[in-house]
Amino acid sequence: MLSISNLSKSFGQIKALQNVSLDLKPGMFGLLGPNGAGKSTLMRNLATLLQPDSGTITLDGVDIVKQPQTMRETLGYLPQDFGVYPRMSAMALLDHLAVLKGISNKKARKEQCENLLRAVNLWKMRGAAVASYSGGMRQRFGVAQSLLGDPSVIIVDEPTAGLDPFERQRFLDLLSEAGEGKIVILSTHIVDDVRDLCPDMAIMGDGEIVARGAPEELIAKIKGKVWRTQVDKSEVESLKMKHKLLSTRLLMGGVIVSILADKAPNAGFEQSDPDLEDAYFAHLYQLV
Amino acid sequence: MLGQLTKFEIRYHTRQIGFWIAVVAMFLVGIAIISMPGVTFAAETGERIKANGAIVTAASTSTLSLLAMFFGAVFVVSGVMRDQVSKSLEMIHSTPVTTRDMILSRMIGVYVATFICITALSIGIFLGQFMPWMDKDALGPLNPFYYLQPLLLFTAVNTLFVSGFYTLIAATTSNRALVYVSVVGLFTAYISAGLYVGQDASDLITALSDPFGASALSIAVEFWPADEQNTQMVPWLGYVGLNRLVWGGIGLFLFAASYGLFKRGLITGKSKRHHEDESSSEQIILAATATNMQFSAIIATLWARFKYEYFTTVRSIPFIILTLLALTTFAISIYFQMKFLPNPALATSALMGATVMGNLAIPLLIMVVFFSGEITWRDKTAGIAEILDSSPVKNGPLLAGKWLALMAMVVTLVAAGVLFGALAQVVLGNVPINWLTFLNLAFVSFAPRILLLCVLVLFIQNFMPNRVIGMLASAALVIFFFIAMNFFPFTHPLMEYGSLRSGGWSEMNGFSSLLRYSWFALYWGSLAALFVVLSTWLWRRGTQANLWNRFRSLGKRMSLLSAVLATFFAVSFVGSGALIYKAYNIDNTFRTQKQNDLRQVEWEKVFGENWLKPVPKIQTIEVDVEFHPSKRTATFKGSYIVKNTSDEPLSEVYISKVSDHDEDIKSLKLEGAVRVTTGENIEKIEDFGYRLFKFEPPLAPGAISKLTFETDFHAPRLGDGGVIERNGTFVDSFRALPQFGISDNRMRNKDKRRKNGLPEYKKRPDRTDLAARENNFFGASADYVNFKAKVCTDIGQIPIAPGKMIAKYEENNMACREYQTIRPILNFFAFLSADFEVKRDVWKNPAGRDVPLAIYFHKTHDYNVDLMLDAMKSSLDTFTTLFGPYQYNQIRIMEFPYRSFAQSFAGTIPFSERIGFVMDPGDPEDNQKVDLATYVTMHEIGHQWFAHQIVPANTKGFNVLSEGLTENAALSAYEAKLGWQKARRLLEQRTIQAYLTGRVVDREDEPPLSKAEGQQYLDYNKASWVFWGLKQNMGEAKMQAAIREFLEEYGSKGSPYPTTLQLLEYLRAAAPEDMQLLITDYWDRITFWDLKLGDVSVKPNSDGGYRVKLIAFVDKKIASEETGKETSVTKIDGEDLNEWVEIGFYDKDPKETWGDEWIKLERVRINQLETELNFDLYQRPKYVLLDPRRLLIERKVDDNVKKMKDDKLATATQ
Repeated sequence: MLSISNLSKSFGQIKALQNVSLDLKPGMFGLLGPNGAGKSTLMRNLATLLQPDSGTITLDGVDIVKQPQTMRETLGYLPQDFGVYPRMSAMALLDHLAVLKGISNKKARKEQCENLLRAVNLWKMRGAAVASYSGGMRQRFGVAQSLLGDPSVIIVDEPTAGLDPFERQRFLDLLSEAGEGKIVILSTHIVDDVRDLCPDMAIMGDGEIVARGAPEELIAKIKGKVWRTQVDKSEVESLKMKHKLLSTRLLMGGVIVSILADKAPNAGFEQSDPDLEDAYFAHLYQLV
Repeated sequence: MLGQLTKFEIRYHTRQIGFWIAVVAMFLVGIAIISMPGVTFAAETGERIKANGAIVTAASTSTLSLLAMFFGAVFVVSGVMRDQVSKSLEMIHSTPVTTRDMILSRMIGVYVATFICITALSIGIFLGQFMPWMDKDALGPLNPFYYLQPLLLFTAVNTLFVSGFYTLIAATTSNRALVYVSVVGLFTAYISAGLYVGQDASDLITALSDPFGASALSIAVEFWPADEQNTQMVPWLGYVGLNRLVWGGIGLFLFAASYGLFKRGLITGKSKRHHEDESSSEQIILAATATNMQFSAIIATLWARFKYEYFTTVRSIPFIILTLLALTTFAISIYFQMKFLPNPALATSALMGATVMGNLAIPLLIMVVFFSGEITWRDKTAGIAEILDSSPVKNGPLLAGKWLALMAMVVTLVAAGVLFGALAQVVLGNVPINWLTFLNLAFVSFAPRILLLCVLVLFIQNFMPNRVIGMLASAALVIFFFIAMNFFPFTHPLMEYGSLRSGGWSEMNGFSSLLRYSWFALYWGSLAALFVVLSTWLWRRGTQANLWNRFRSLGKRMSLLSAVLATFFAVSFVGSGALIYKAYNIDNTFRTQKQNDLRQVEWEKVFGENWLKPVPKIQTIEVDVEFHPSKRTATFKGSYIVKNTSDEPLSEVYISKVSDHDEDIKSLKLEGAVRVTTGENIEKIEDFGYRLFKFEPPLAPGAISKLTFETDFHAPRLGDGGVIERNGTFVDSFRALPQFGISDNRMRNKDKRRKNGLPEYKKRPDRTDLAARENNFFGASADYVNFKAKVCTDIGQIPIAPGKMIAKYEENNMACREYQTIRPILNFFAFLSADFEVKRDVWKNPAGRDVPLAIYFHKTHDYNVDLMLDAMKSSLDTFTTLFGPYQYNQIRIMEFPYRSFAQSFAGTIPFSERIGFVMDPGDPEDNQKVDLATYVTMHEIGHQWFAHQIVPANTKGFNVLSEGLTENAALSAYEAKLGWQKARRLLEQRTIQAYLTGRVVDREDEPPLSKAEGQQYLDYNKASWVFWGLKQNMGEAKMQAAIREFLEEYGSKGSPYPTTLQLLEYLRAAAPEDMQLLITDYWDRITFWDLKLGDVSVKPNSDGGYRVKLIAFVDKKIASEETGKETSVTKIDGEDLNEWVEIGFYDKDPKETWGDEWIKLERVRINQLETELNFDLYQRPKYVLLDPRRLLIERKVDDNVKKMKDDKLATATQ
C-alpha cells in the first residue's frame, strides 16, 4: 500500500502541496485537476524526484522520503514531458534503461524489452530512433519503459496531453491492461481519462485534495442537482453572480450553462443527469 | 524601416549578457596587456620600447583583435540566427519586413556589436597607461593618433572579416553547430597558416596570410629600432596597406555573399519523420524479471552508462572535427618542421611525441571544456533525466559512467596522437620508433594533467546552474590554470592544479624528476579523488536540485564508506601538500619570481663591492670523485694549491659552499685561515652560499696555501633535485667544487633595478683597466691550473673528466679512471658518468702529433656519430692551418640528457642528447639546408682555440673573443667542408636574422660590438657577421693571419688577458688604410648601411658586350646606443659617406645561389647618396644585386635587387 500523509511542499511563496493525504491500493487511481493544481509536484514527490517539506510517504511501511531507493526499485515512472537521447533506437534505449533498472541478466533483459516493444506496438519500429517518433508512439515508448522490471507502482503524469483521440484511447487501453494488480497513478486534467478507467480517483485543486472516491460516488453526490439551459451570452454574467455555475459551453450562438442547485433556479432550466465533468467542477469549485 | 530595425538589432545585442562579458573581458585584456608587468606586451616594454608608442599600440590591437574570432560567432548566432534558435522563425519571417532590410539590419547589428567589443580593447589599451601600477618610465608622450589609426586600420577591417565570415556560414547553412565549429576551424587555420608561413615563406605571403594584419605589421616594422617603434606610425602603404585591402575586400565579399545567399523562411520542411503505425494486436506479457541492485548490477549499469556516454562523445561531430583538426595541425607542423626548416631535427620518437602532444593540447582543452558540460548535462538536455533519476540506478555508477567517459575520451585522443605520431615518424624518416618514449611522453607526462583537469571541470559542474554557465566556468578555469597562472609573481607549484612536474624526458635516463612527480601525483590525485567523492554527495538527482537543497540533504547522501574515503583523500591531499610545502619552503628555498628579485637586491646589499676583491689563484687541483649512479649520490674530495698572486697581502676570502646542506660539507679547510662564524652579515653570507675565511696572518704576496675539501652530493629529495643521474650525470666544476670569490649575481635588467631602488648597473671594467685584465672571464681565482682527477662510478658506466686518461681499473667494485692534464688548463672542468657506447677515430696530423678522437653516446643515438667525427677531423684541419696547433692530447664528445647545449672543456665536450645527435644534417649539396650537427661540433672544437688558448679578460667585449672568434673559426671550417653557399645559408639564419631580431627584443641598451656586455646577439651573431664581412673585404687569408698573430701573442699565456682592443690592433694592422673606417663601423659603433638599387638599363655595346647603367642609392646610418635612433652620416658633422659596396651581375636568380656564381662582381667606392654607375660586361645580366654577399650590416635587402625583363633588352629600364 502506498500511503501519503500530510504532504506539503512549497516553492518559495507558492504552496504547491498542502497537507495532502492519500492511501492507495493496487488498481488504477486517477488524479484529476486543472493545470497548476500541484499534480506533477505530487507525482514527483512519489517518484523521489522531489523531497517534501513535511509529511511522509510510505510504501508498504517503508518511508520512501528517507529511503528513496526502495521506491525506485519498484517504480515505473512516465514523466509529464520527457525526452530521449538523440539517435538512439527504441530497442537500444529500452535495453539501456533496463540495465539501469537492475535487469542485469542479458537474456532476460532482451526478452523483456522485446515483449514490451511488441506489447506497445513498436516492434516494427524498434530500430528507429525514438526521437523521430510521433507523439503517440513516444508516449507508448514511455509506457514500455515504465513497465520495465515489472514495477509494483506505476506513475504516469499527464500522459494523454497532445494525443489525438485514437492515440489516446490506445494509450489508455494499454495502461489499464498493463496495470493489473499494480498501483497505477494516472495524473491528468482530462476528465474522460479517469471516467473510463479508474475505479478510484481524487480531485486536486490549489495543492489540496478536494475530493476522493470512486467516480460514481462523486457523481452521486450531485445527483439531481444539476440544471442546464441555453441562454444568451449577455446573461451569463448575472447567472454567475446568482448561482453556483458549474460550466458554460458555447452552442450555436447561445451558451449552455450548467448550474448546481437543489431545485430548478428558474423556469428555463431542465434537470439533467450529472456526469463526471459536472462532479469534477462541483468538487473543484467546492460547491458541494 | 532599415534604420529602426538596425536600432533594434544594436539594442538587442547590447542587452545580451554575453555582449557585456565580451566587452568587459576585452577591456581588461587591453589594460592588462599594456600595464601589467609579465604580460606579453608589457613584458617587452620599458625604458626603450614605450608602452604607449605607436607600434606597440598597433601591434597589440591587431594581435588581440583576433579574439573577435570567438565572440563574433556568438553575435552571429544571436543576431543572424536568432529566429532559428528561438524557434520564432515562422513568426518573424512571415511579417511584411523586406528581406533586404531584415538581412542588412542584422549584418549591421553583428558588425557594430563586434566592433564595439574590439574597441573596448583599444580603450583598455589606452587607459592601461593611467593605471596606478603602470611603470611611468615605460611611457612616452601621449599621442591620440597612435590609438585612432589602429582602430581604422585593424579594428574596422578585422570586424568586417570576422563578422562576414560567420555571417556567411550562418546564412548558408542555418546550422548553429557549424558556426561554432567554424570558430575552431578558423582558429586552427589561422595557427596552421602561421606555422606554414612562419617557416620560410616570402615576406609577401607571410604578410598577406594573416587576416588580422599582425604578421603584415610585424614584417613592415621588422628590425625597427626602439625609437622608430615609439614615434613612427604604421606605414599606410606597403605590406600593412596591402594586407588590409585584401582582407577588407574579402570581408566585404563575405558580407555581399551572405546577403545574396540568405534564404528567407523554412529551409527544410520536414521536422518529424513519418512512421507507419501498427495496430494493436498482442497481449501484454510481463514475465516477472529478476531485478537486483547487487554489485554485479552496479557494474552492469556502470558499463552501460560508460559505453553510452563514451560512444556518444567520440562519435559526436565536435569530437571528430576537433580530433581531425588536432591531427591536421600536427601533420602540417611536423611536415613543415621536417621539410621546410633549413635545419630540421631527425624524426625521432621524442620529437614526434613532443610535437603531437603539443598540437593536441589546445584542441584537448577545448574538448574537455565542451564535453564536460555536454556529458554532465546530457540527461537534462535530452529530457530523460526524470526517468533516470527515478530509476533504481545508484548515483555512483551514473556519475562514474560520465566521468570515466570524459577521461576515456582524453585517453582515446592521446592514444590516437601516439599512433599518428608513430605513423608520421615512419613516413618522414628512418629513425626506429621508440615506443617507450612515446608512451612516457603521452601518458606519464602529458595526459595526467588533462585527466586531472577533467575531474576538476566535472566537479565544478556540480555548482553550476546550467550547461552554458558550466562550460564558461570550465573555460575560465582552464585559462586560469594553463595561462594566467604563469604570469602571477606569487605562483607556487602547489597552486598549479594538475601539474605533476615530471621534468624533461631523456632516452638515456627517463624523466628527470620522478620523485617530485610522484609527490605531486599524490597531492593532486588526492584532491581529484576528493572531488569525486564530494560529487557523489552533491550530484543532482531529482527535479528540485539546487545547490542549497543538495547541501541540506548531504547527510543522507553520505555513506560510511564515502565519508571514510573523503576523509582519507582530504588528509592525503592536505598531508602531501604540507609535506611538499615543507620540502620546498622550509627545508629548501623555493622562491617565487618576486622573492628572487628581492633576494638579488639583498645580495647587492650584503656583498656590495666585495665580489670584486682579489682572491688567491689556484695552481694545482687534485680531485677524487666517486659517483654512485644507482644510489644517485656522489662524493667529491680533493685539494687546491693556491697562491696569492696579487701585490697586497690577502686577509680574507669567500669560498662557495657547493652544497646548501652544511651536513654534506664534510670538510672545507684552508691552511692558515679560519672560518669566520660571527660578525656582521655572516648568516646572510652563508645563506647566499659562501663561507668567509680569514687568513691569520694575512697571506703574503707570493705565499702558498692549500684548500682541502670533501663534499657529499645527496640523492634527489623532494624540493631539492640533486645532480647525480642514474644514467647521464654531467656536473661542471662550478657546481661540484668549491670556488674562491663571489660570483656576480647582480640584477641586470635596467627597469627592474630602477623599480627596486638599486643604483645604475655598473658595467664590466673598461678594456684599458689593467687590474681587470689580470682576471679572465672564468673568474678571478685561477689562470691555468694543473689538474689531476680520479673518477669512479658504478661498473657498467664510464667515468669521464678532462685530461689524458692515465689509468683505468676496477676498485672496490667500482669502475675507475684517472685523468691528468698534459699541460695546464682553465679552472673549468666537467665530470660525467653514463653507460656509453664509444666510437673512436684519429685525426692524422700532417704536421705533428695525431689526436685521438672519441664520441661517447647513448647506444641508440648513433645517427650522426660518424658525421660528427668527420666534423671533428675537418675542423681540426682548418683550425690547425689557420690558427696553429691543437694543444691537448685528445678530443672527446660525450652525450648528456635534458639540457640543450654543448660546452667545450679542455679536450672534453659534453654535448646534449637534444642537439647534434638528433639533428638532420640534410643533403650536403643542398644550399637551402643547414647542417647544425656539423656546425655545432665545429663551434665547440673552435673553443679549444678561442676560450682555451685565447682567454678573454673580464672586461667589456670579453665574450666576443670567445664566442665571436669561435663563430668565425667554425664558419670557416664549415665553408671549407661544405662550400661557400652552405656557409652563406647558415650565416643568413644563424647570424644575420639572429642579430637583427636580438637587438630589437633586447630591453637593454645595445653597445658597439667591441664593448659587448655578454649579449648573445652581439657575441655570437654580430661578431660572426662582422668577421664574414671583414674577411671578404680584406681577404680571408689576411684576416685569419691577423687573428693567428693575435693568438700567438696572447694565447695560453695567462694574465694579463687580452681584450677586443688587442684584437683590433692586429686586425687594423693587417687591414689596408681604406678598410680602417669599415673596421670602426663594424666594431666601434652601431652602423647600418641602407642600399637601394634605382633604375637599371642594359644596352648592347658595339664590341658585342653590354653596358649596364644603374643608379645606386647608398646611405650609412649610425644608431644611438640608448634608443636605436639612426642618423645618416651625411647629417653628422665630421663624417663622410665613403663606402665600399659590391655589385653583382647574374644570369640567373641570385637567390638560388645565395649571391654566388655571378657573371661579374664589381667593387666600388661610393660617396654620394645617389650615384650613377656604368659597367661593361661580356654577358647580358638578368639580375643586378647590391652587396650580394651581405658584407654590410643592413636591415632590409629586398630593394637591393633588380631583374631585367627579357623583352626590353635594348632599353631595359625598370
